Amino acid sequence: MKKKKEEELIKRCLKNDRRAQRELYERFGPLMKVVCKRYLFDQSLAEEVMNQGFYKVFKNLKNFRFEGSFEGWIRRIMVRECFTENAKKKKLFLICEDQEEKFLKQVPEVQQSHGVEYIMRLIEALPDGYRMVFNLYEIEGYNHAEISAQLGISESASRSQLARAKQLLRSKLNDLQGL
Amino acid sequence: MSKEWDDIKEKIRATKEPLSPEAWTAMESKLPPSRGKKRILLWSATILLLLLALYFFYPSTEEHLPSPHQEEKNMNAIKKPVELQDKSKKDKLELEERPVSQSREPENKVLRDKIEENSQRDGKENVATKDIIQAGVEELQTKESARPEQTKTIGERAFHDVVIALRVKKAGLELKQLPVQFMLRSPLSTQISRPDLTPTNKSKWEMRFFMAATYNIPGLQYDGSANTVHKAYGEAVENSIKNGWGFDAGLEIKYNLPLGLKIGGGIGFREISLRSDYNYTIKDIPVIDGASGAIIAYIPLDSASEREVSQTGSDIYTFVNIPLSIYYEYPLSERWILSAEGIHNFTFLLNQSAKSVDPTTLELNNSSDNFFNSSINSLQLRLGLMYRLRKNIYIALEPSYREYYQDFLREDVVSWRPKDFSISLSTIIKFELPQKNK
Repeated sequence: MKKKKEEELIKRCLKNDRRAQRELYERFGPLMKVVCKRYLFDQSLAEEVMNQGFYKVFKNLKNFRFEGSFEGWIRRIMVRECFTENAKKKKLFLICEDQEEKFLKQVPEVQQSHGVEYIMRLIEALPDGYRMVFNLYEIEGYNHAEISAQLGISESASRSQLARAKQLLRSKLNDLQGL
Repeated sequence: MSKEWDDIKEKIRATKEPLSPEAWTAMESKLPPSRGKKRILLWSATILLLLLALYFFYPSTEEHLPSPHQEEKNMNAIKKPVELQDKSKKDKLELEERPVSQSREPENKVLRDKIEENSQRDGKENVATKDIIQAGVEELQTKESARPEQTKTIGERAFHDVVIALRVKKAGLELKQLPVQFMLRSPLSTQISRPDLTPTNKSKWEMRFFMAATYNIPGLQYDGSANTVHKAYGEAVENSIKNGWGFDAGLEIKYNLPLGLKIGGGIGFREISLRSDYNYTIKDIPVIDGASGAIIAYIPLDSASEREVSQTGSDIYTFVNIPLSIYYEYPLSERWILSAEGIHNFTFLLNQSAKSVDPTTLELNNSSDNFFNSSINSLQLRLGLMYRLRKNIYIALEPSYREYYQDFLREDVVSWRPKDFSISLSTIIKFELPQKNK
């Protein structure tokens, strides 16, 4: 039922129906703003970059084939848009020993409480390279080949970044199973 | 992976943050105009143009007041006898309004002649009828002359006619021998419009209504060299779009300049129709580089998995068109005129119902509005042969050729600059602007 409504909404957007476009924007915008904040070096640009992403969503809507998740399709466009924006600002440094030390010193260890907000703050505090790879792999579900293509790094670099990110998080979340 | 970590990931994915109040406004400014806005613009423009046309074209009463010379001429012009009708038809017609452009005075004359004739035939003079009719005429003349004619409505005039006709009836007189179209009317009221074919060069303005059949030529060009385009794209789309028939209709207003030149503008509706005939096979699936979008390899499908695409139909595009033109006319004789016109058309897409082949995957999809530029410009050359039907009314047959000099598509790999030939049938009305407060 939800999917059918989503399909109808997309078809209306394809006809350049402004109300439908707004409905779609308001439905997915709050989610995508968080996605953009997660991947941008400069989080103050989140809404602007998200709007650029939505422009591409509307422009390329005809290419969506109603086969996979529509939200997943928008997320991918947003992630790509964030990395395009990041590329304008600075290069992604993968070796971040000083940032690792900073992370270990700043973030307190917790033994039992793993509220989502706390975990999100921990992830946000990870060094840039670790954070990007961790988010792409664990949250967005990219594989290492896709991450390497997206970030312009080798697959082995992607694997090592992920491993270091997990190691750091584990040091702060001792009893979190599965990480 | 533990369920605990999966739950946390799901919650992280579902995290939302409210948008700023101005977020949508910023977003909307990036989007092409919506269908609703396009419709509002179109309707506003049409209504405005119709109002303007009505204002300019509606005849002023002041202008139609006859000169004494003209009145006399009109009197002499009426020679046709008025036939008598039976009473039932007459009673019905008595209450009908007459067009204000027709004079009653000639009929009064016919009426008087008829009374005279009847009186002579009966061998006695129908004095009572004649006197009452005469009294009615005089009464109405007195009343009407006290008030300017242009201040009277058609209803008021008809009311006077009926009142006087009823007075005649009340006097017990038989009206069956009177002309059916008998209605008492002051000679000052209006004049008869007689066809006047004297050529006129005074009309500064003209209004032109036209309908045209158009023969549309696609003019599509494909660029298969980009690395994002499937290697079989050219083969799939080649000759897939064929010529078709469409139509134009609209209204234009022109203004006379010296040396037989005119400038004009207007609004029109335009439909381009092209026949589509897709017939191709998808034999390979492209492998696309996620970062650049380029096709880096192809996976060949086995013969069982190959997909035939076969579809025929029509691609239809509707537009609102705003022409700006410069026009020249050359009179061949009193009735025939040759014309040539150069037009710049601003064309706005209203709606489309078309299919397009995805350049990367070769899938055949319904085209999105975002695939097209919402406005394109074109140049048009129109020739015409006009024939004058009445003093200021013409009909014309006008062949034309139009070519768009901007690309209709936003796609990089396909370029479309439509062309068309058309032949239109037009009605042209030349008119003067009403003189105000002279």
